[in-house]
Amino acid sequence: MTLFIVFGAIALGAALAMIFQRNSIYAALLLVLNLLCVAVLFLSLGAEFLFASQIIVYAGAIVILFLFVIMLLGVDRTEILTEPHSFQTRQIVIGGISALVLIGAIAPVLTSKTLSAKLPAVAKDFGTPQAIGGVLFQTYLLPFELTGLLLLVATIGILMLAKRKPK
Amino acid sequence: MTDPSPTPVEPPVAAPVVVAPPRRRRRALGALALVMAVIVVVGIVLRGREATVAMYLFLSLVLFTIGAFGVLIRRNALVLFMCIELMLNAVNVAFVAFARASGNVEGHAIVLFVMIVAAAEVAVGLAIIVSMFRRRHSASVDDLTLLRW
Repeated sequence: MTLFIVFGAIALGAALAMIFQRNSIYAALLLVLNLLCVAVLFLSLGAEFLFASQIIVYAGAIVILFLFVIMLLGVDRTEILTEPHSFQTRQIVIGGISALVLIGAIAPVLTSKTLSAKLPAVAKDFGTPQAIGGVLFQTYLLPFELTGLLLLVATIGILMLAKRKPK
Repeated sequence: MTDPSPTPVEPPVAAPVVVAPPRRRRRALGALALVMAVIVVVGIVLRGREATVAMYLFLSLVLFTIGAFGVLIRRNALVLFMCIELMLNAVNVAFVAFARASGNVEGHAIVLFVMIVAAAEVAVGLAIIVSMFRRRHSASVDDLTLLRW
């Protein structure tokens, strides 16, 4: 419970600070903070394997990719690093209204009795790599193979997109 | 004939000491204090209770909403992608919470798939941003007006 409150609050704070942060490098670092806190929340839910893969894949690979591109594009251009315009009032008002509507529409569901029941005890191997591997290679074998294909297609696509056209 | 006077060595330039301006430092400290206050208040309100799925789902909902709000207010394409990551991650929290509640590990497998797809999506999206930047010298989504009517 303490874990949930502390890291949940830090995750929320980091997320809020991220979307209002003009400097995109700071925004990326705040995203790392948010992802690490969510990783700890995964751990508190008994998902050890996902805790590790969240840190490795999200915080380690994806955000580093972001930082790479920011540095690559923005070394001598300030408009990449910082957003020149202030946020428009219209956008903030419309965005705020839709955010409140979204929360207000879903939040009543969360008060239902089944959702606020105590978390049940789980099996000892819950969330271990063995358990997840068993599910991945038995129930979800075809989707697993398809994600491999997806990664291959993405790699080829990136190479085609990022290649400089010969003059 | 050797030049008797060696070429003058330029004195090393002292690296400027980078200190965050007071305004920014004060803002960061204010944010930190706010987070601490939220922790204390929520801790008092939820004192003695055990974490339930509903709490995790609420956190996931708020994170998702913050991400969606960010997509609406930001213009920098890179930050837009970060907000999308935030939303995907919020959904992952919900999946893991439900998996814990039902004691079923399949939710974890789905989170793994979401992570893989997010990684592929970010890589392709960043490649698109790089090639767009090469062509238009801007990473602002406001400059992509080709389809506007």
